[in-house]
Amino acid sequence: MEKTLRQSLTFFATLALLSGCAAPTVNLATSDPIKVDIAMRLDVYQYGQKTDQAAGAAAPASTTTDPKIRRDNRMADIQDFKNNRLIGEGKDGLLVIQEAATEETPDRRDYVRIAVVEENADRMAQMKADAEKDKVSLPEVQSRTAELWRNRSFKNEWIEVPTAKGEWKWIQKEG
Amino acid sequence: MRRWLRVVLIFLGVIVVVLGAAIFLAARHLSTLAEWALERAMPGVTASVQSASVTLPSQLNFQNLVLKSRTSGETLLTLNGGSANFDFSGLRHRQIREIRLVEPVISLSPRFGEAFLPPSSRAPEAPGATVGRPWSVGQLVCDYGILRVLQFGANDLALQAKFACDFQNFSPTGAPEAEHELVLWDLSASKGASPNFLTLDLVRATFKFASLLEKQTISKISLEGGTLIVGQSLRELFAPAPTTSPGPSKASPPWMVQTLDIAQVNVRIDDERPEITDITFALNTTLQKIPLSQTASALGAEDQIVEITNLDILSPHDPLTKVLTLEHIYFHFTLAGIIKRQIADLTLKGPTIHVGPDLFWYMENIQKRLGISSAPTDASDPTGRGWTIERLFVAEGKVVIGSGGRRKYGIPLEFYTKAQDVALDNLAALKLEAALEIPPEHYVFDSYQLEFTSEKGGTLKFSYPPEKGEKNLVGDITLTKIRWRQYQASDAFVSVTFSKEGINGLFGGSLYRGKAGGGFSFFFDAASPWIGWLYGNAIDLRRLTDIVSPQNFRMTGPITFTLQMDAQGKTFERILGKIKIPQPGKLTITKLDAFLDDLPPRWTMLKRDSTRIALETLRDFEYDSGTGNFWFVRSQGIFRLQLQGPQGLRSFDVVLHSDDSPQGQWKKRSANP
Repeated sequence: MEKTLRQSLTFFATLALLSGCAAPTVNLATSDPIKVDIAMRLDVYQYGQKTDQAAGAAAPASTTTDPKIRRDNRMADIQDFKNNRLIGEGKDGLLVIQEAATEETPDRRDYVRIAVVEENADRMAQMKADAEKDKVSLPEVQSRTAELWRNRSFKNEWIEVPTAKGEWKWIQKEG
Repeated sequence: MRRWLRVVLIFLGVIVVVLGAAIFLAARHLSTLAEWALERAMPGVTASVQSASVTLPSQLNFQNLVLKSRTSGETLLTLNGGSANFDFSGLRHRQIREIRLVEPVISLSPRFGEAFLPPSSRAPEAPGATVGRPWSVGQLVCDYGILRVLQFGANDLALQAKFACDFQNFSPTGAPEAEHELVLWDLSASKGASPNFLTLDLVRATFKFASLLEKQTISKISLEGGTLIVGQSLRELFAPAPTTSPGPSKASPPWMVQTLDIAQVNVRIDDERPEITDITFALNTTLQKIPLSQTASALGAEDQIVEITNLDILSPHDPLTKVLTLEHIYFHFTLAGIIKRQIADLTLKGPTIHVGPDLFWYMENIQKRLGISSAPTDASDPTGRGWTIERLFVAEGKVVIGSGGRRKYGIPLEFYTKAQDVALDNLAALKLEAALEIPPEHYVFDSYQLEFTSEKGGTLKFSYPPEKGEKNLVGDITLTKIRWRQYQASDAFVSVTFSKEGINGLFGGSLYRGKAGGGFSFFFDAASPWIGWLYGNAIDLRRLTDIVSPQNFRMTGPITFTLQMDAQGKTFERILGKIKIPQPGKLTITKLDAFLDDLPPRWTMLKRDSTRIALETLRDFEYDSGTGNFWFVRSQGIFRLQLQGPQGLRSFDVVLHSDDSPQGQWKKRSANP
């Protein structure tokens, strides 16, 4: 009984002692501000932008019958290839795959190749139609189409240009 | 008695025989007699008549009459045929009742007047003497004849006309003085074998014979209808005569015209440029008391004003394409000036320059055709000089841009100019030494949502810079304010060069506390393709974002950007660009406030608070710098923005889709490197 009483007194005495002391400070702040990196992708879909595009959008580019719609649908990919310097505008009004494409993955290379083949087929059909309409030779139409593409190219995009010696060479367009 | 009778009979017989012989001889030598009579009638000539015959009772017919000057021997007149009616009492008084020329072809020398002048060696006749007095003709009639004057003067002038006359009391010396009228039609004049430089429908010359011979005066000449071609022949005719060594002058007294009346004679400018050849004007004037030799100079000094409307100059390659439209052209000139290829005043009101490849083909074509060289022409050779305009005024000029096809884009710019002593051989090639001025104006391009205000105006210059021999048209304009859609710039300029290949332009100005500028190239093609580029430096991002998306987000700080675009007509096909935010600023996505205000009340407190914290973190972001890039093809593409700040990195990729098709690798990729 006495032992139990002594233990109780000791506990309360300790408690009273501890209660007279200040509580310890725990610092949760960091020396630098908290940095939060946020990456956000926002996909915006616009419907009814263009009737012909909408008509062709439901079908894959290669299966649409209208070459103009096919080319419109393919346009963003072509620009993406140009932005990455994978393709360039050739002297005959057609796209030509550039060396940088060899550094891409096999899947990507295939994708580029197929897109370029399909785009060139559609361009050639258009140039033949222009030659028929204007009653001029196909090479002439190709030549003026190529010149127009060269003129319309953006800075640093690949273009094939004539040299003073009458030869052709690839350059990145200057500003 | 019988003997006397016999003598008389014999005498009469002899007289009859003599008379018969005389008549026989006269009949056999009638042409000689006619020559003698003509020489008596016209003392200044020698006459020859190939054949003559008498139709009884009193008509003398002759063929192939030639009159030559007694002094110089020059042929003055040749006459194929004619007849003279007389009576014997008239002959006694040196009078012929009628001379009738039947369809004569007269080759006339300009010295024909000498035929009626007495030889200078001849002594003056006593008053009242009949001997030596010229003959008078009661009537000289010709219903239809052909008159030819060949090799006239040093310039080898040739004239041909049909004529008719009915001269009454055709008396060179005696009274009464009657007024005669010579009518000519189908008159043409040429220099040697050159084409006619003058054709006249009808000419009436009124004169008194005595005045004609003694005073060399013609009462009146009326010219009605016809065409005068101002070209090489006329220039040579009026070229200053080469100076000759001084010597005895054999100039005859000047011929005078009391009245020269010209009505509806069209003047056409002979020039290799078809559009100038087409310029004709009617000459209507009356000149009084002028020497015949100075008719041209007097006529040439007359002021002429011609107005031409709606003259289209067409493309050498496409007759349906205009290169220049001249709404009103006012020429102010003198005929003498035209001969010297000088125009006193030229006013072009409302000309339209159709800028396109055809305009520059036209310029090249004209230059090739005329062989225009930059070498100065010999000013001493009037025939070799180009056209000049003493004073040129162009007002209300317009520029229309062609695209290679038939599509046209009118530019609401007006230009005008004033210039002096402009070389017209350059005008044909649209190369004015003076710039066409664009007046200060407020311009609105509704279809492009573009307007600008120019307080200083600008210029349009052809073939600029001239030392490079460029075939172009350069337009410069200083703009006080420029607005495209909702964007406004100030202190701007636009410089545009039009050439055969297309239109190239540069522009720049102040934009939202910074500077912006760019350029464009417009290619002549049916689809109207063009490219453009734009740069901005230290543009106030806050003002820019307030305009771009005032309800959605705001950014502050300066921004620098570059942008390239590829378009067809009004459709942007491709846009590619980069942005850089070099100084600190703040991004506030104000659009998120609406989300914060509308958080669903049924959400738990924990969910609402955590969402609020996340959105507020996203809404407000202070950054030190930022970079971005974007590309769009038609209505699809990627915009990427990275902002670096004390609170971390914010990376936004906005992918714009024109449809929800999964096709296209680009959709899975980030923006361009």
